[in-house]
Amino acid sequence: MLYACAAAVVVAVLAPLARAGYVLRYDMVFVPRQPLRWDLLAPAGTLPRAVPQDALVGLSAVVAPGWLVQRVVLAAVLAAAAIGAGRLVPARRAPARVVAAIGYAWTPFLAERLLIGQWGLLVCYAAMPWLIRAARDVRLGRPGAGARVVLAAACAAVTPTGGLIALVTTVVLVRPAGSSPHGPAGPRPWRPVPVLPVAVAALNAPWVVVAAGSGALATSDPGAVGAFAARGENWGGMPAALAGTGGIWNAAAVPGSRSGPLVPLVTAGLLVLAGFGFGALRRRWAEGTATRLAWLAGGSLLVSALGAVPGTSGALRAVVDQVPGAGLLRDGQKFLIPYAICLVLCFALGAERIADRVPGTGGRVVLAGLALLPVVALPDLAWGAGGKLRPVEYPAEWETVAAAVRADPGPVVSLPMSAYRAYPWNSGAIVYDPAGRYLAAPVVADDRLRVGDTVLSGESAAAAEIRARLADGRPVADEHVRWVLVQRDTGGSVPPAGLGALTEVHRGPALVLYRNPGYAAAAPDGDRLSALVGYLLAGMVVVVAGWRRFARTKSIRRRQEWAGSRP
Amino acid sequence: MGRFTTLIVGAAVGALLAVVGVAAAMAALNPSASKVATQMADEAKANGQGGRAAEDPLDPPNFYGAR
Repeated sequence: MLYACAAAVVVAVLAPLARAGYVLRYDMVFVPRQPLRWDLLAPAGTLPRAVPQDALVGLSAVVAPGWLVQRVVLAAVLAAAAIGAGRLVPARRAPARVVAAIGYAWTPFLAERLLIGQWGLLVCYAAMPWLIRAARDVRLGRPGAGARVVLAAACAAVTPTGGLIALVTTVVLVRPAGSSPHGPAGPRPWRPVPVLPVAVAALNAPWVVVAAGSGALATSDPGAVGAFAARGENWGGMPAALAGTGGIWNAAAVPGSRSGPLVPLVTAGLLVLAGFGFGALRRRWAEGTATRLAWLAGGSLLVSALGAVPGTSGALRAVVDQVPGAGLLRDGQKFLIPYAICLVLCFALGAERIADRVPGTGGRVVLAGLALLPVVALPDLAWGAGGKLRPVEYPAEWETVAAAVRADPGPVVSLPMSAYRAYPWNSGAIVYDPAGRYLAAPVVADDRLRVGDTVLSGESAAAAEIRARLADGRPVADEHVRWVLVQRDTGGSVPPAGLGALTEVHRGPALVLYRNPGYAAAAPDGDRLSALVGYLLAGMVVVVAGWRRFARTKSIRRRQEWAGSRP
Repeated sequence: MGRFTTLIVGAAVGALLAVVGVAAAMAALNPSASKVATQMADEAKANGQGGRAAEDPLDPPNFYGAR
């Protein structure tokens, strides 16, 4: 039933993706074949926000086209979230598992992060039930659970935020070494500390090592704390939005139904029911995982609200301004994942308790109604989030430009200066400049962002230099720039003086590509060897965990076969 | 008795879902307050009443996000 339920959710949300093309929205950029470029694996001039995500997409391009990878990833996120939550909840009735499955795969958090294109964070979201299940099995001393913790955390760690969430979850949920949840005489857990936290920490090595070796500013614009703070979505304000797993900073990424007048009341109902179910969770997970999960959920809720509460937002601004890497905390709402899974588990158990009190088949009716409640309260997640996730084809001239750059690779400047674009062929949806992933060469684009009237500064020195040249009326291309790409269909303008003495190679309705005759190839930026060490370390941890998991499964099968062959 | 209870419970659950669903569908179909605020801000900028940041052509465009 769980698998059918997961399949129904996947079809309901992703049905529009049956059409050909790519869904391009905010941070979700897929291209026909993303090159496995060194500057994507280890960006030297910007912070590693998509490490190791870009490396994985680049690797996948070796075996599958981008359109297929995108569909597989999105479908897997929804299916794994639903199945994971359904299997995790310690319910006695099968329909209560369906309540958990639909509840976790149909949250405002998932809808909002899908609409802002952060699929890497959603991989962490989908991995969270599996990680909690494996961590609990470690606490119970079940063999092979440690390897499952590492593998689930590896899935979560495709982005730096996901890696951090997985690390904190592992540290909080896994019991210290030497103690058994069954008492002194019980089975000893699988060496959970320090092996597991260290292994999960090592999964973060790719982005940590790249960030340490990057020439980019490691601190962020403190103005981003206010810009990316959680926001209210209706009369309930920010607290009600976060309590219902919504509250993303960007109003354009919020499903319309979240502004409905009944949303805070539905959230209040969910919380009451979840409170009713927490007792059951604590009783059924008597080894203490429920309490720890509740602390973790509470902590994630507090972190989510930090930037939006007057007292703490000032402190967060100071931290983001002074502490390298603290910029990860500026968009706090994305840390709601542990809260979301805890809420859903408790909600499902609360629903089960209510159903137990209703005689006859009425209990089933209650469970069916509560399983449908998330869908009814958020109907615009269906059909590609209300038609906002629409596949489109790149104009043919993108391939022409890519072929020209592929034939003579060298750094590209993408103009007009903007990190994000709104193309008419993409129905005006906002998307991160695809040039950085489409072209087989490093692309310099603006890395500043504007939220409302606030312009948030970027960290790339190369982009700042290009901006300075444009402001001074100088040519944008110096001897370190091979190509200049002007995207004419995205609005904005390029001062004619900025194009200087460049040679036009391609002119189409949307794109103009110029070659810089004065280009002189320079030595590559960044310490490539040390960046590789981070990837190798994380890769080794995954291989060892996979081997342990595989070996364990094989040994169980052998034992079963041996037992079956005995007379 | 059991059937009657199921009927009552079913009607209550159905009514609850209908109320929540209709309200959510209406909110999803109508322009939200944030959307209206964004449109008003865009119109103000187009009329030259925007902030200082909106006047510099080298600044990023204002479509990335609105709170």
